[in-house]
Amino acid sequence: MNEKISSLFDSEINNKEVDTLLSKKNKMAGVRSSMSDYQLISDVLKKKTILPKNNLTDKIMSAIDKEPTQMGGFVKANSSNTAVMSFEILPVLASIAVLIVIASTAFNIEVNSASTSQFLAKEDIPQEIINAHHAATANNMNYFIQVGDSAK
Amino acid sequence: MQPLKVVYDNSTVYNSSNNKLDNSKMEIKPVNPDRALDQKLVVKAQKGDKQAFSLLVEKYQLKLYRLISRMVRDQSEIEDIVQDSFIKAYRAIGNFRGDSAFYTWLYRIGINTAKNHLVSLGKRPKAMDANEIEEMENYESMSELRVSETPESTMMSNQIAETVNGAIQNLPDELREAISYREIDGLCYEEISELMDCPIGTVRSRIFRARETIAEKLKPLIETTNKRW
Amino acid sequence: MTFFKKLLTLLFLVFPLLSIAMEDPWLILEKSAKASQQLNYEGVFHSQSSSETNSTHVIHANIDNKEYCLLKMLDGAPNEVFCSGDMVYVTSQEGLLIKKRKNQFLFPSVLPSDINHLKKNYQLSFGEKKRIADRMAQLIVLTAKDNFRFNYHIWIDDKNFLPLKLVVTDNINKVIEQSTFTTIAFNKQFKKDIFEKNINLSQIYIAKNKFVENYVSNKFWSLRDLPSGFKEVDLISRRVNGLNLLDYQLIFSDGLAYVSLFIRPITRGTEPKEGTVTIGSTNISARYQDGYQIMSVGIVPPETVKTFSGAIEF
Repeated sequence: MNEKISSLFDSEINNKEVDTLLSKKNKMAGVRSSMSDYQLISDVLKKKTILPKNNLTDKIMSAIDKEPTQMGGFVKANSSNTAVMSFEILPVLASIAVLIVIASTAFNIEVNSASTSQFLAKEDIPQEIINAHHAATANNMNYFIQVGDSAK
Repeated sequence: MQPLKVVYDNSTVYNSSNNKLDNSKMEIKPVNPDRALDQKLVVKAQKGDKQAFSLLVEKYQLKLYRLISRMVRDQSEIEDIVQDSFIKAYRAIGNFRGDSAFYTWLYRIGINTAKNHLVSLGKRPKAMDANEIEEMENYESMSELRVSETPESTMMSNQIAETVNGAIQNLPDELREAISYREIDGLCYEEISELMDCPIGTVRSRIFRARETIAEKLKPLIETTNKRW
Repeated sequence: MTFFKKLLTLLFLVFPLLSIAMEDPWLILEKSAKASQQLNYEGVFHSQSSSETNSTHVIHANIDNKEYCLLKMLDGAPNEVFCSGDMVYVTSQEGLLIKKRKNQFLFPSVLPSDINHLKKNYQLSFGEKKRIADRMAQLIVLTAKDNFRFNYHIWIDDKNFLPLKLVVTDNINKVIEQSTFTTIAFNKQFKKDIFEKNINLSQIYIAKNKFVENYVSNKFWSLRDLPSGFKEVDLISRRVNGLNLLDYQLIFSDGLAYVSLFIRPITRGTEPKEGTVTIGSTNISARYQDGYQIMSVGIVPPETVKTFSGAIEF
């Protein structure tokens, strides 16, 4: 467990290990305490001004615990979550949904989702992506040579 | 055939005979895959996991503290501004798209919160130009904080530094090497494993053991001074 | 007796013509894959892809069980590729590019060593014989079993099984790309130093990627619903220029076709892209997810790259 915290501190941790750490809710204070120790060690080695170990994270999280749980961002439709949506948000969302339906019906507007195919121009594709693909896989030597020319 | 001097196209220079990294020729900093982890934690926070957000708080609260200290001197005011910034960030987390790094977004919130705080006290905030805000992408380059220091706090800082440096010197070679590559050279585990010619799991373990050894030596020092300096 | 003599003569004449058809057809592809690695040959071949054509002079040898090759462009800038084992060196006017070659893919070495992988994805049939580069060649057609890949037409030398011509077509028989020998000679003896003579030891060389096995420890993605028949064959991570960020290239193959799937963090000021586009014979599909630009690239049908770009989960 502690080795995972050290890897988390370095951002060298995989998804599964993050999930494992986060599932141990009663150990989060210990996780944060270890991270705080590692931060102190890091500051010394990087010759930064050493700040006293504080309980600022606890204060911040106590304040955030009193806040309504936030939901949003790019949450997939099939993902499961156990947080309860705040009742203040629901009526607002419902009103917005009604407005969208009315607008799309009245004005014949297509509502695009992120998964709808859109026009993509050739200029949108970085040349290095094409080069990297062909350098690794092309059976036509021409692609391979062109990558060599554009490597610098 | 003589060994070739090979230059990787990311400007990392290796001498093929000894595989050592020549830091003086590094044109860009080594990689830190922070952003992937931050994105993972943000997505979890957006799904309602406050503990995931708490890890982001722990990760960035000191860095935000240092940033705000460039504008505000008083310690308790800085703490209040940092706390407000995180609360604002949490309230707005649903709007975070991931177009920029999380800490860049957080830092902008922090700067604006600090400015508003200074205005409310009747003080004129120092103007931050576009270049200074651009620097937030590379937060290690920011100048050191300027909080008020007392003789006590200076002494404590020196003691902590001495303890850490002493503990480092007494570490077994491979542990000292691993943690130095990580903390001083800023290399990622992948690069360290190549330099030390060992698996990534071993790198991970060595860095962890180094930290735990040093943290043990620090414990008595921190526990006896677990109060504001 | 006369009848038996006639029968034996007939069999003797017909047997070589039947020999290829009587063998397990898939074994022929195995022989063809080995031939491109083991034979000594020298020749010139033309390649065409969308509107570009070019000619290449090739020397290939197997010396002391190690493969060597030297390919020289005959059109445009006089660039060269030479291979020594699994290392590939590309010389141009600016320097030498070094890569480790994980998969056989440069013509005529287009067939994989593991033919079984191809059986799942392609149907094999024989076509006509014809002369190519003054050699008799048998056409083998690998027809895609689904819409995720193109069709491959390979003419292999009747005697030594080396691929002499390759044509890739889509499902309406439109040519996507092709390569064909115009002259070829076998069984020459080559010395090692003709493959290594172009290295200038006083120069600095650029290595495109670190040629080490995949060391990526932080795979923060998973894959679902990949197009059938494709498996991951390589993973490359690179620094995004000027930033402390990594991007990733996952490479998939069905044995003949290759698709790269790129996972790149969105950098400051960049608009994420979504959609599908064709550039020459290459199809590309782009998608945005959770702060990352996903792009899949390959000489495969558009539906394939779209499926790949949708296969990433964080």
